[in-house]
Amino acid sequence: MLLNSKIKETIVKYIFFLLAATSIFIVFFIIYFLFNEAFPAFQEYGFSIFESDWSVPREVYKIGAALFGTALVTIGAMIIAIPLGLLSAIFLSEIAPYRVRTFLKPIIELLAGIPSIVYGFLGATLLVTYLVPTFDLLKGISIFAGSLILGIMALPIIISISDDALKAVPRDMKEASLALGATKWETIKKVTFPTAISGISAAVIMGMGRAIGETMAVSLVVGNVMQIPIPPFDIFESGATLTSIIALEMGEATGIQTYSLFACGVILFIIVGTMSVVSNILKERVAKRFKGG
Amino acid sequence: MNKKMVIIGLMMTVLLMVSWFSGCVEESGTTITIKGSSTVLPIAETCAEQFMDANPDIQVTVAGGGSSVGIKSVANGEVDIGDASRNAKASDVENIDGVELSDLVDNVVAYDGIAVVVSPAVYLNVTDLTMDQIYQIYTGEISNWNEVGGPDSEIYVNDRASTSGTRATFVELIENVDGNALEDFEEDGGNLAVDNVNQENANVVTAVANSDTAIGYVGLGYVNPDTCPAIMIDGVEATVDTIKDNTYPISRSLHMYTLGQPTGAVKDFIDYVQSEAGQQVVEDEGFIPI
Repeated sequence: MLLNSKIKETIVKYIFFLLAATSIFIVFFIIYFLFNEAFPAFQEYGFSIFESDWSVPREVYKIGAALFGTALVTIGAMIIAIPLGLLSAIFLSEIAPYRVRTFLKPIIELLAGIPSIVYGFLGATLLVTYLVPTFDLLKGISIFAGSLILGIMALPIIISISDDALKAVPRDMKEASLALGATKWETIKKVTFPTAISGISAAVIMGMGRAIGETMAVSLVVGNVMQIPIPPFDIFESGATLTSIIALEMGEATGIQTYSLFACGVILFIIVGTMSVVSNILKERVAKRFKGG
Repeated sequence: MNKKMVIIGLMMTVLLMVSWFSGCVEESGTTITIKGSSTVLPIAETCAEQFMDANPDIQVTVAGGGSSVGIKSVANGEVDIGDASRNAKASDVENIDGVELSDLVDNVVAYDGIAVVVSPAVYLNVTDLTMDQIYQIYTGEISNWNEVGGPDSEIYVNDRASTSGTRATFVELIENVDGNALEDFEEDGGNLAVDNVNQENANVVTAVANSDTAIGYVGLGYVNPDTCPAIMIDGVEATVDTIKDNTYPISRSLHMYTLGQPTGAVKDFIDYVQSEAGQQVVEDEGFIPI
């Protein structure tokens, strides 16, 4: 009997191991495939692939403009999302009464559940039309519109992870501060926020990762023009991002164009992957810090 | 529990093997080979599927490659039908011995027209543009609507993704007064002065309808007189009739060339494409039936 159940245990263990190994195998397979498909593009262009020159008729596919566009759109999104997100998180975790908090938190998390195509649709129909008269623009389709949409999409992640980080700050630290005569605001500013800073950084990086990897919403509002705007920081011009150009051209791309699109994928993978590793390290640091109390 | 796993494993193996072998069914009967234009490709593919359903003993294989490849392949006998989105030229067959241009039989299967659309606010003043003006708008030489009789506002230029077939036709057919096409401009290293690159026809419609200063181009079926009106080009309105009689300049016919009059299964297939059922496919794919 005992032996029998031991055998069962072992079998189940191996089945679980196999299943877990499958998902790891799939990850490695994807990485291999991605790099393998992108390799010819790097071979063809070398480092000049980071120049900005993308033209189908001339068959030149250098991805610099998309990289620049992604950077610009993401920076814009973060300028919008970081202050909004952090202040909301502080309000939720430190200031809001319990009832308000239990009411607001699910609503904010609902923001994360809205499919990105819905954001894109609202962006392409409402936001873009609204931007034209507001900023006296030729067109609403712009890097700015992309930043705005992505900023909103990154909000729930930033709010909810920073909120967790702030909540994890031990109560006695805050109470000690208050007992010493500090006001609530001073406590938040000098004790709670600095203590939670690595968790908050993780939140910001995760939000940024979402903004960089987002495709559908941004491709509908950003314009997808593979050129660096003149002047380069004119955020009301059209641009392209690494994701939008893949979505736009993958369907019928051939030859070196395909490889260059895969190169976009590799760059994206490296950026988002690094961010996710960094944010995990930061989050672990939070966990360690408070373990001893 | 173990037994179950074994049984499931066995079933999956069997399923895999069955699907493997089913791919190796022996080909028999007549084969029709088709090659050429990627514009005609969706029509040819869908018609081939339907044709094979109705005639199980005939195998139809369809490949892309472009109009030039299609015409050359049919002329040198490599394939039975050569798809093309342009007329065959003498230069297509000059290197093929014993074949003259007149040996190729032109079977028109559909028409394709592209409408140039503008925002309703622009349409109040601008209802007609010349090819040269459109050329200059897309190259950036004209950047304000007042240069072509419209309101004093910058032009919001809409384009399609470079892989789009509609775009390929547009840049090929839009020419300036010297006969240079937009295509030539791009091949010489120019970048079109576009503000928005759209994924689909429908995205162009949204962009144009939601703006007061936009221009764009779409398949004829996407024109909406209220939100996204089509302008006349060189004084010709874009309609099914003007496209059919070739007076509308941004239009072309889609061909299935054969070497000599089609016979047997090839004739049956072309007849099918030109029949009511085939023309329904043409319409479904966004082209104009013959």
